Amino acid sequence: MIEQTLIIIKPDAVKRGLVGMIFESFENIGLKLMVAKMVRPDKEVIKNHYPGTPEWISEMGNKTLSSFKQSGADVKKTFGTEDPLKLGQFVYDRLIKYWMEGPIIVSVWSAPHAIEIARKVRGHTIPYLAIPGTIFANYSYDSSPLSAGLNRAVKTFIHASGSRDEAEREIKYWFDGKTEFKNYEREVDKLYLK
Amino acid sequence: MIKQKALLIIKPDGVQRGLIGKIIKRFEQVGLTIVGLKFEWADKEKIITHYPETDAWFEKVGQRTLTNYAKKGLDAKKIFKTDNAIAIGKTVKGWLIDYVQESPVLLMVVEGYDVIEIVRKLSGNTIPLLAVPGTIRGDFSHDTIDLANEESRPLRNIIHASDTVEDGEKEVNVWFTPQELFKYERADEHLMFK
Repeated sequence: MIEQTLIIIKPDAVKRGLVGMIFESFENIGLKLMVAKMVRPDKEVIKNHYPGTPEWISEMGNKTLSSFKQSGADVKKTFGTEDPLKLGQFVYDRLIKYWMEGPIIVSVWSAPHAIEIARKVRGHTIPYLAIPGTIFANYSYDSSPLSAGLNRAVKTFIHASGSRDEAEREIKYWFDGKTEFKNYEREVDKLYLK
Repeated sequence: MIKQKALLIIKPDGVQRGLIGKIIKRFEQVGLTIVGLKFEWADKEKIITHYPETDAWFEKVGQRTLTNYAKKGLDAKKIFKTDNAIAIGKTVKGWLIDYVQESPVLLMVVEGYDVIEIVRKLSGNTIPLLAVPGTIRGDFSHDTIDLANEESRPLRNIIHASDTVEDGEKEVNVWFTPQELFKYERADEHLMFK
């Protein structure tokens, strides 16, 4: 039942001074911080955070296609292509550039259903499409058409693992193969975990 | 005027009570820049180096403890097996070392103009009972020296903040390597000081 999830606070959120607010949002729910570090990784490290396979790149392209559709914007006009793989590659390159705008904070959080809960509280990947009450909706208006028009990635300022497998892979990746962190007591443990 | 750095440690009582985000937020709000951050179990050797190791410091702490015990009518000799101020100071340091190791701690380096004055102001009086509302210790605790002495334990005061510019430099070097510190501009910096 207890899961661990990887949360990354990206450069724009660090520069806006949103670190405390983001930590607080997860802490208030009862998610337990296990480990964290501020880092400024180079291009390769960021690139390999993602699976980077052709299937994955195409999937990113498809996501871009569907968010353009939802926003009523013309993909072909912006990118000159509707091919998911080419589109995905564009997005991938811009994503890496975005991650390199400043230091980031990488952290691991633990709780029952941690993965789903972190995603729920963060909100839809595209802030413009996120529902009110989620962090993305409350702290950003960024959208696919806006970012594409400015030749940049959508500033999805919180990364949260999408599944158990993804979480495990990502935690290992960012913390030198480690997935287990020494536990400690939070004030809610006695109330909810006993 | 040049910017200076201060070290902050959110201690186990702050961590275990889920106050990390709320505390980070207070430093971000006033416009300080987080230039280093990590959450980990504190290394014992580093804690020992962090606190002063001179007889003068031990004596000061020991003497303060003796005075407090005498005021409360408590027998210091019975608890410490000595009435030597230096020896008592060493015991108190031992308590502090244990306290900081009760859970992981959040280590953070903040940078700004007059940063020491700001972190001291926001943290409040080191004795939570005496810290005024609006400060971290005043808002999140009411522990006292008397209470701590009565129970032969360290004062739990949530946060450590560097005391002087020199301490700040020393402490940052104890806990952080140059590779763990970053330079970047906050989004609102040019608006605050233009």
